[in-house]
Amino acid sequence: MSVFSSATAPMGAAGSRAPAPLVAVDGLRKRFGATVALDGVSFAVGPGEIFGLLGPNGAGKSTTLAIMAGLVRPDAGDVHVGGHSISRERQQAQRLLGVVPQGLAIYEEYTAWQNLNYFAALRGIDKPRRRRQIGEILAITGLTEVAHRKVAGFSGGMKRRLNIGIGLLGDPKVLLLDEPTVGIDPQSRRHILDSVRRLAQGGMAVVYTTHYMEEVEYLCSRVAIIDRGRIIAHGPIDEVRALAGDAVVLRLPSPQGFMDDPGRLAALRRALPLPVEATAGELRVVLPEGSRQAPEVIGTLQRHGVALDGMRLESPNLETVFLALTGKALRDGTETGKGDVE
Amino acid sequence: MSAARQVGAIAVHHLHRVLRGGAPVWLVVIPLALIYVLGVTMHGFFAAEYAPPEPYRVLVAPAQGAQDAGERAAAVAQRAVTIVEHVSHAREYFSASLAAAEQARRAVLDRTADVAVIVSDEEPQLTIVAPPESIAAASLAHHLRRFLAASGSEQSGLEQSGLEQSGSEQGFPPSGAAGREIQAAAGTAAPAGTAAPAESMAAGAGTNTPWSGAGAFEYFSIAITVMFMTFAAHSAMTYSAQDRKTGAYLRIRSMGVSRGTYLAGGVVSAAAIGTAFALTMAVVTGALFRVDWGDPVAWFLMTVTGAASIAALSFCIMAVLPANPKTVESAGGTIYTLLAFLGGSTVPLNIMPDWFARLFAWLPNRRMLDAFLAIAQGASVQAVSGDLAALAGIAAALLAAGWAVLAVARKEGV
Repeated sequence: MSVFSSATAPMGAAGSRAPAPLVAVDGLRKRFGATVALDGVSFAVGPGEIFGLLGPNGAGKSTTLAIMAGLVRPDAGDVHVGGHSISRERQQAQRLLGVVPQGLAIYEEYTAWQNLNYFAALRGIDKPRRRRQIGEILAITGLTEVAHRKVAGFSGGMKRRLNIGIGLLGDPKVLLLDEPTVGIDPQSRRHILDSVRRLAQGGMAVVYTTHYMEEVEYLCSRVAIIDRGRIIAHGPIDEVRALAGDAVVLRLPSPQGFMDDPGRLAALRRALPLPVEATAGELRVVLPEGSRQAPEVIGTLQRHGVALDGMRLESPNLETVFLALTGKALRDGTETGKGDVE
Repeated sequence: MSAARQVGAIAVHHLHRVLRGGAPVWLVVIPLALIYVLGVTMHGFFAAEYAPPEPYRVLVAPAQGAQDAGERAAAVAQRAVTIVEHVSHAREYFSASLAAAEQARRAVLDRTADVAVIVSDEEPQLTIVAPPESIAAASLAHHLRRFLAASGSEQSGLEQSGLEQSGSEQGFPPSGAAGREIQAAAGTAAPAGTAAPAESMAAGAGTNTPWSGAGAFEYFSIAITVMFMTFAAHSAMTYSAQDRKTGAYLRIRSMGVSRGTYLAGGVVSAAAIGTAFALTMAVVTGALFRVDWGDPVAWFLMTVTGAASIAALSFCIMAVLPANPKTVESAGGTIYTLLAFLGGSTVPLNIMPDWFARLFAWLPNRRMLDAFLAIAQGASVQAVSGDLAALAGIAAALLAAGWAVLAVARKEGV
């Protein structure tokens, strides 16, 4: 399987020339009852490219992938995989796709080998080819040694790797990965990210959804930031990052006694004409004009009794962009107050 | 990959999961233990096995007309003698002797005999005369069925007919069901009592129902097998619900497996596990409890059709409920336990009120029970064809209903 090259050269980054797309998403719209899940999502991914779809929970990433995989019918728009329409030529398009769902779509009472064998049979891979391909996938996922152990005894990372491995059955030209690193240890995450890179180097087009911006920055050449079913930023990573302009984020570790008091937080939001995000772990304030706004913000924080221990300013990154554009955190989708600016 | 092969792969996969999930224990050991316990403890409730303090008094008589016709009369008389000899073998149950037909009827009416058997060379060849609800008649009917089967009259059976005379005139209680006659229709195509359980129940006395001639072990081997067939089939369907919960279903669909193919795989696996379980139980109960399940062809057709109807019911349950395996599993357990009670699997029908047996005769598990009992007592494929058709119809209707529910709810996406 050529895609399992052992080379580890980094992917081309921002601005790399876009090859002819293997997968083209065009104007997807989807509504579930009164909820608009997707509202005109379009992008294209070429061979060897890792395309990041970044957004908070509920933004529409999984719906986009489900439509791309032929599992959900769009209300409007279409997806072409290798030139085949997912709406009209679903089976031909699906033959070119490998899908890694967000959930662990594996059988824990089976061994890794049995899992791969079952899905390979469903995929229609004949027995001699199946055996060879299962061996290759076990190697790339680092599961050869435990191939005949029950998955129930695997660590979370090993299960995730197997979950990805099943998506590689049948030599797909396009790999759809839906948050493949949720809930695993850093070592397994690194293994997965490096594996994805190698797959892309073999010519595979990868669509990678996540709400971890570090993963997108590490892996992807281009990214689309999606929120409430709409792509709000799209392009090479550096270009998207530049959308944040001079913005920086002021981060404060969760001030004791402050986060638990909704009244004080609301008062701060009224006083600060800037996006303020409060998560369980910290308070974050986006400074759209950069660090020169910091003194004024710090003064406001002090007047509201916020302890400044551990405060730091962060350079712009994709999360900053998202925060600046939506006023929400990527990781949990928590609505934030935007003061009176908006 | 063809859809048929995908169905096969999914069905085999579900079967594997059922077997690896401890099924060999709970699907064999528990039913066998139940059959043993119920067979031993409920022994006395079965007419065929109930040993009276004193043997039942049986009079066997050639029919009135047959006595006047030379060779035919001799043949009938010989048959009457053979029956006396056969019945007398069960001396714990019967004390049999020959009598004239009118004398035998009168003796039953006068309570000087418990039951009379009128032997004729015309249809019906055997007629049992007894008071209504007579355990003696049920017990004798059971023995005669075995005798007829053993003597080569494979198409024989006992048929309950209308009354010859009104009970009040004859001294029986005027309960609406006076003196009963049970007739053996040797050579007839389909014994009514086995072919149409619901109709036989309507006849009332319960002496020619499929369960009237069954012993405790025979009854419970069949009844508990039917009950656990439902559990077995549902366990396979529960795995389909689990796939939908974990995302395995979506993954399978993304591999080019259509919704219909996937669901067909689930239904086939449910029917297959039900059939495999029934086969196992037939072999094991035959070996352990000497249960004869009857004609293998009729048994096989009934098993497959019954398992399909249960699989279809499980499919319907899965379609109606949220895609949560726990909910599907527990709802199925509750529904099938209730069906087992209503369908006579946990409490024998011969001790339930007549209305109860009549009211739930339409249930698929009850039809299976009746048909299996009839097959065990000698009924042929033709005799249970009505039950086969009914169960096939139930399966088709439930599959269509489940599919419609899924389509309307759009639970499956594309």
